[in-house]
Amino acid sequence: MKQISIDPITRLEGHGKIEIFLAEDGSVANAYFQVPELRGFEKFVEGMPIEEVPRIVARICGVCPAAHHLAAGKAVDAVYHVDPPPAAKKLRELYYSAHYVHSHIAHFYALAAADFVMGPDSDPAKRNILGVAEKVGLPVAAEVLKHRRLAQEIQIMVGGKSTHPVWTVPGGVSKGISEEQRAQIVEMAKSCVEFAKFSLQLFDDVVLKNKAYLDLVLSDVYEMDTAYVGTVDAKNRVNFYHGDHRVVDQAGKEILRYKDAEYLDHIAEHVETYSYLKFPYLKKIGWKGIVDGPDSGLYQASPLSRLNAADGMATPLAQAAYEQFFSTLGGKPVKKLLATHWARLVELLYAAERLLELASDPEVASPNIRTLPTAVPTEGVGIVEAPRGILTHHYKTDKNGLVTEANLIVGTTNNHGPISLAIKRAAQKVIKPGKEVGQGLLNMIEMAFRLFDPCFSCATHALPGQMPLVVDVFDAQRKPVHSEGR
Amino acid sequence: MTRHTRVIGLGNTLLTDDGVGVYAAREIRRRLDGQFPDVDIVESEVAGFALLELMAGWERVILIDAVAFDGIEPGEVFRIHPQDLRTSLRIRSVHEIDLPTALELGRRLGMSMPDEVLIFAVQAQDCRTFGERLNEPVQAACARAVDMVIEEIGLSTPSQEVCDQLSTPPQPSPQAGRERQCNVFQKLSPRLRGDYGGSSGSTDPVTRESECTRSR
Repeated sequence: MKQISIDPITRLEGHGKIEIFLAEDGSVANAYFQVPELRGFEKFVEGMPIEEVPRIVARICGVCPAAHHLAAGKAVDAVYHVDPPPAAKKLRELYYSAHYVHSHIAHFYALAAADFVMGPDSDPAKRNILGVAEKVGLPVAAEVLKHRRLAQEIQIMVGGKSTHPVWTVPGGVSKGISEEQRAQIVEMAKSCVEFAKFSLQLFDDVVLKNKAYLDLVLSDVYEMDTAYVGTVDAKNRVNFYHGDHRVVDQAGKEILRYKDAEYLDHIAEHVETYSYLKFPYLKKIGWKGIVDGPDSGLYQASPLSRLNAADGMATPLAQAAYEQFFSTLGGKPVKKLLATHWARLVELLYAAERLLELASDPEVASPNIRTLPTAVPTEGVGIVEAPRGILTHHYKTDKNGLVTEANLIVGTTNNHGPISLAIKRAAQKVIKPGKEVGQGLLNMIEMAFRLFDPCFSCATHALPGQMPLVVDVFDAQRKPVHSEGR
Repeated sequence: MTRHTRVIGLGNTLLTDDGVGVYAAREIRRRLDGQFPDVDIVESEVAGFALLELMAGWERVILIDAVAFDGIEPGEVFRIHPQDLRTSLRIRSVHEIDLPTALELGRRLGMSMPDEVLIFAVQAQDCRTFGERLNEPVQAACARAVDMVIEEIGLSTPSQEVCDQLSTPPQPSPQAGRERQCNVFQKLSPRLRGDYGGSSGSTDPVTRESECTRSR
């Protein structure tokens, strides 16, 4: 059996690797991706005062510190049995909307755009943001930087720091914003709304009006049939910060919804010997393996899944974009994975509009930003929608508020099964016997991976101790034939 | 207006040796004790676009970061340039842009990017276990990296005398000056790569030989 490795990362020891196993005839027998592990998170936070945890978890990773900060912040509220005042909740959501603007802009322009603007099999040296800038114009790149920075500045203004926020406290937030800052954020948010509209227009012009790309989006190379999870408000519209967590099945029908504290009743995690990272699945359906179809227990947690799991968007322009999304792609649920990029832009517009809406609400400048906790701390769960998927933080403490147990299910972990399947399917569709495997084809396989905006530096915390097992090669029966990395 | 030198210590101090750049920056700040007004020292965990903004407006940037090159013992310190890290312009991050791309993008946008970017890369032993202490070989390497950066600052900053007056003058380690050619397998840290972990999208060859100088 021949093996092709896409080891992108030349770069950091043990980092994610896609392995494709060819049969003797050159067809794809199997494909896997693997990730390294971060070790010892639970042990690290054990004994730590729970109110410190939101500050610490924000430092796990520089990509989505705001998501960890807020999920942990909500969990800490629950640990202390305290409900923050409305102004604090609005401020948190405002801050989080800015984070979404920041994160979705970075992913779309730094990664997704290149495959479409330049083409999936274009010269790799040009298939990047520099190539995109060359083609659509440098001013666009300047706008990308500008709005990324505006979103960052809002996070700093509100959360104190951008990469390492020091802001949520049990029952609220440590500081509010002034009326002057609120007015400033309104202006910044207006600009972000315009840029989000532009980004959707760009997608329309470059992808939807180009038959070859639209065909690619609609092709069966990037198709998957699983359940979808997303957080929704009381009217079943997408919300990133709070609400019920709704799961719809492969036909788009709601099959369950749960509150933060109920996640363990509905989500379980499967372990495979070849990977540190667990495979979450729906308990109600059970573990059926890394498969899709009507009986699969896998679910996706991504911009696409959030749109599929909701009935609409809570802001007008995003709602219009949502409607266009589903009418163009043939109704709900959309199973075309590359549409995740489009869904991300619909969410970008929603985040920008929501940012503007919240900043326009005078209550966010209220000084009433904290409910002081009085109850004895016990246990709590906090869930937010991280840009790359639903994020769950769960802590137990002793009566002094010192952490005794912690459990995290991070955005990318939810998608472990779907990413594995997407890579395998793309590999099987694009690599054919007798056809030379060039980098264009390999990039098409990588596209199946990138569309999830995966981030692994925190996804792999949940480990059984320190056993450094890395298994690289499997035969068609998934039996290891070669091991290394011990 | 551009300013002279910015030293950026990159890393995550929650992940054992990954924090070496940050620890080094703190030590450099303590040693310089504000005596080089032209030199700014920051600690950061950022990459990509955010790193671009940290570098813009400075004539010279010195980055200190942990790396995991193949086949290198923990504790070696490499003095390299961004072009040593470049294998191609293609995407290799899952979420962001890498260091060479960030520099190039900044230049093309007419931002005032540094004329010189130097990287002091410290070979880590473990960047994946939660912990707030460096492993022993990396701790020793941190001290050497500090000496090397201070020497670098002293060499090209106008006020050489100030360097001599430092309360703890830089003591070049016995090995620091001994440079030798070596082959490096290009394994970048996530921040230099433009993300913070995970896989990416490159089909570049896994490794590339490059000339550099290293000190041990």
